[in-house]
Amino acid sequence: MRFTSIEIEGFRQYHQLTLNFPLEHHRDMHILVADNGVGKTNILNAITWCLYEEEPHLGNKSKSLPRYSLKSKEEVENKGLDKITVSVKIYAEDNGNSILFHRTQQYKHDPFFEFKSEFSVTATISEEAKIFADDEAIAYVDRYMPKKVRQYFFFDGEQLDKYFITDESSKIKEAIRAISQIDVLTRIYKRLGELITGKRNEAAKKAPDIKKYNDQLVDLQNTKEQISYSLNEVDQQITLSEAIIRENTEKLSGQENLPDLNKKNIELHKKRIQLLEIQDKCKQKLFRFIREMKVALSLYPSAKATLDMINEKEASHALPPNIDKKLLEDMLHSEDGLCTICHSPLKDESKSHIQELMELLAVSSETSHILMGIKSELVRIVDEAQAYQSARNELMAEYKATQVQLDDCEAELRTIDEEINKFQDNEKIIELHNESENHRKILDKNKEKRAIIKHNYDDICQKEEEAQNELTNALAKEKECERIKSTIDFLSRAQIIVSKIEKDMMDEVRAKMEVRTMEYFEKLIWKKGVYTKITLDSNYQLELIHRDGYSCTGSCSAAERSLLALSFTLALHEVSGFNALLFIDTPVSRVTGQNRVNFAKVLAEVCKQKQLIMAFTPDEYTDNISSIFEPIASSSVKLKMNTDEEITYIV
Amino acid sequence: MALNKKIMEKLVQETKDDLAMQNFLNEIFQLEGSNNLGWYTKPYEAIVKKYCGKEGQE
Repeated sequence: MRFTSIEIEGFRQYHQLTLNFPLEHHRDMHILVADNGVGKTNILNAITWCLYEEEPHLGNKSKSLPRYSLKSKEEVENKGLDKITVSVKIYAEDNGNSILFHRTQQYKHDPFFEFKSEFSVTATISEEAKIFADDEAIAYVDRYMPKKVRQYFFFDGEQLDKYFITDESSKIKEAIRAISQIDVLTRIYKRLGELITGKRNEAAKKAPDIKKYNDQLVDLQNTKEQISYSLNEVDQQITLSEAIIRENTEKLSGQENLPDLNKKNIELHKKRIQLLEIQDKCKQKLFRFIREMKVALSLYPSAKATLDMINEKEASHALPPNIDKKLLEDMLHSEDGLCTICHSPLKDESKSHIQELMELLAVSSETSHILMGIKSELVRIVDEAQAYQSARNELMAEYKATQVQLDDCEAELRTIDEEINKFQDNEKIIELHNESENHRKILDKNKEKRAIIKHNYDDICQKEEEAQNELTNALAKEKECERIKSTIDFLSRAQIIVSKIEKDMMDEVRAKMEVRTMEYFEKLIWKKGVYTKITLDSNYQLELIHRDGYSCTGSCSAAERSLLALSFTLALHEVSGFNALLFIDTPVSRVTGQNRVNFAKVLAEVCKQKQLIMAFTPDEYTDNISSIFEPIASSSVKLKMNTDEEITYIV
Repeated sequence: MALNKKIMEKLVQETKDDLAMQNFLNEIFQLEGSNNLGWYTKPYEAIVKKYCGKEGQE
């Protein structure tokens, strides 16, 4: 299916605009060029509003504005009317049949009132027009471009490189199911199941036993559905966690050691503080020591000289012996004539010797007594002063050793800081690390949870089979129920076949999607031979495998990711059997330099197979891009805004 | 719009030995593929009756 034209009336800045998309020289490429704010994205919004009543690409400024154009409002006021009409018509063709999608909505401006929009599809097949409205019209759109996967038809180029981000994986799975119509099989399976339940109820009314078995079976089936839902939910959570971990690991490639570096950094900072405290204590100890030694050091020269002199005089017997004069006197004049020390009788010879000593002491000067008295203090001062150097050296050595440790610690800190500073966005990296860590924990819990749920699921399946057999046997016993039983058997067989087709389709679509996406990607990418294959796991998480064997979806360039998204979309359209158009707003905005030119060449190839409508800004639509597109484009339109009226028109 | 061709091919393959089933599912698939499904129960029951009713049994 391709669009042939779009007519927009009164929608945002479009008062009346018709865009035609003729097909010429087999290249279904159509270019729209407009400055930012002129309204190229609002053409995309007009399309999605018409088809889905949604404007997902609406800018913040436009969100606060009414959907109708101000010019339309002015016209309505001038004509004295009270209703403003917004209308978008999309004319399309599919295998020679024409289709018109039309949505219109009315507004009352004073007081403001928004009427419900009306949507219709007019399909003209073999010159016979058929009009679909309401749910039928919505269903018609859904069969061409399902609403839930509209992002695979209408792109915002700026989002192209985020196409495979984690939270999109469930959408991809959903897209494949919807776009390949596998969900139709699921629906048929469910409806057959409802018919079977209805038939069982019919049989149950005829035979109470059957009712019992039937109720039992219905209960089991309900429980099974609930468990299956839980299983699916856990699987999705597991896939999400795995994808986040994988994506973060890719993003953090080469930056894995940042948390370790940060940890070490913190430890070293602590160590540095401890060393500074130790060093400070050493310094205090040294200062205290020097303060204490100040007296001894200042007295040292005179104390040393005095001590030397005393020692010299002692050596030359120039100083009297330091004898207690009173003791001698007491001994000489003692009444008992005994020695006061050994208590033996004093001989005359001894008395005369004591007398001699006393005479000798009488001649010694007061100075010599003082000298002898201070000698021990002088010795202490001199010893202390002489020991100062070694004690000081010891304290200095302790201080220096701490300083060395501190220097080492600071050098290590500087190295780590340099390492950390190499990472461009530390906070983001840490955030990613923490996110991965959290998801690892969630993943472990969910895996345990899954094992339990799976066990319950298997158990309920077994019970369901048993209940099914009991019911079948009960039905067989009742003659009246034979015909119903045969219908149930028939519908059950139909269900099994539908289920098998569904499973085969999913497997085949997945396998083919892998192959076709890779084939498109190889054809489109300019770096040949770097990537070997594309894989889709059971949850449709896409992985691009590098020739060295690792997954690099998250780490390849924005241009490559955009190409990958385009390849996936083309494969999806092809494998699903759909051939709807692609509308890309700002297609090369995320690609620069030579990659931009290559990407443009790729798009020029794509338009040979399907309709491609692209909206550019003039900055984006550079000479090297326009020189590729202009010669082949079937239509090229420039849009401009009349700023007075705020109306956009074709130049 | 017709249902995905591959689904129809698989249907034929899976029911090659049971033509009644093939026709039954074919009608169901066509019904799901059509834009005139409406309230599905009635058209479904009509098809079931056609294949499993008295005329279907004969």
